[in-house]
Amino acid sequence: MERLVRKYEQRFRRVKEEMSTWDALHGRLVKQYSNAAAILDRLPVLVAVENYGVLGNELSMARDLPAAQVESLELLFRAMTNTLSDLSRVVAALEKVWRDGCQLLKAERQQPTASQMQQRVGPRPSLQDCVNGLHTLYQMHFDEYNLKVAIVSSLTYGSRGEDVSALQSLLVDQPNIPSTEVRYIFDLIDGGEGK
Amino acid sequence: MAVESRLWRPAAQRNVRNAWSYIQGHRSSWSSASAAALSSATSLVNAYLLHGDVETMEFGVLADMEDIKEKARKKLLINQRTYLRLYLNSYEELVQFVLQMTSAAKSMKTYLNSSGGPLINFTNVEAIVDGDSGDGGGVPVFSNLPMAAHELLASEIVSMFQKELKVKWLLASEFCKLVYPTLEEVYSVQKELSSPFGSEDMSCTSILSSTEQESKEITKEGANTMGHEVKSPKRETLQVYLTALLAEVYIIKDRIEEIGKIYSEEMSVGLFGTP
Repeated sequence: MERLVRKYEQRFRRVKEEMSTWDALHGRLVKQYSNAAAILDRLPVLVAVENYGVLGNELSMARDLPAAQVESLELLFRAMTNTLSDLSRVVAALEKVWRDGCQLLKAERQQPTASQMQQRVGPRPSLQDCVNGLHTLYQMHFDEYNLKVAIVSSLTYGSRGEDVSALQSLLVDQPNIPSTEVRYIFDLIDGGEGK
Repeated sequence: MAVESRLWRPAAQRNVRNAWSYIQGHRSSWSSASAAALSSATSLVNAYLLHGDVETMEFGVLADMEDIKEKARKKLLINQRTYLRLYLNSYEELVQFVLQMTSAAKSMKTYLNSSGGPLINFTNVEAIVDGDSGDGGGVPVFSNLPMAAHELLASEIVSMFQKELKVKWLLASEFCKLVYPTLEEVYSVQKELSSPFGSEDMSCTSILSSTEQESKEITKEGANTMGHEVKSPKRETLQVYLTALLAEVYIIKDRIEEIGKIYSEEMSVGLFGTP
């Protein structure tokens, strides 16, 4: 069984790579979202000509500035959609790793018994731990992806300020990926490798 | 014509190429200086708004301290002045960049044939071709575009930056009024801030005089209310100002990229296509 566990450990290394990609994309998405929220926040101020002070007199600023901001807002919307599709690719990769992991077990000529699944050799994780860990990590990212899609698509020209900031902190927090649980899974898996 | 243009081309090409690379270089230094201007303007506005809010602020345990509000206000005022200084420094840099860009865009021609007079060669090129008005009679400099087109494209870019500079200048005078609300101080700072466009740009000098008039009116009001209480801009207005600094609406990036593409196509064909 140790041979199988070692194979799973390789799979977890792949998961780690995918998760660091996820983190980078998550950071990018948060940045884009907060930029878009800032623009949405100041648009009502920008469309009021009386707010232009000294700039309102001569230049066509009062017309061009909101237009430029709306343009960059649209660009941000598109960029967020792109980031989301990159994130969905990460989720798909995690799903594939999990399914491959299940396949790994099924391909065994002699199916491991329930007690073998639970069995732990030294500090190494049990087979059950490995399969469960892969599935949990996939499930977390899948749920979080859906949440992100919902948050991003809720951002429209009609969004109110307080809603946007609440959703923004939700986006930053990633409630579906609790870091303690992630660390617990990896501690369990790394038990055999740490030395 | 063929001989002339053969003699004319190398110098002209070198000159045009130099001018374009100058413009490009100053464009990138512009963007770093304007980012610096934006950040100091943001700090300035924050300090200004805080300065106004000190009166209503809750100081909690600090409330017992002697003159805490007075000291906070003084400190914020000093900060405002520092940030204003920083903004003005960045602004001066921007003026320099635009001036250099302008002169680069104007010096694309290698030769100048003044009407009937002697040919003036205004770069350090040894060879002089007689009867050349500087545009080689309209022959393409590299592959397709004649000198006039190069100059037109360059001046299009430069005029964008000039317009944007005007915005920054207007805001500089606004920020000065913010920090130094009394007339004398406004004057002294505005004298430092000479108009970048020289005296021939009427629109700019008229703005200058209008702001002076405005500040005169403001001090009249101030004299009436006996104090430094001048018509201060609203929060929203300041937000608009900062957004204007951030967005740089007059610098149309797409168009600049397009021009860059045109030029690089010219160049790359020109490298192999010149006779």
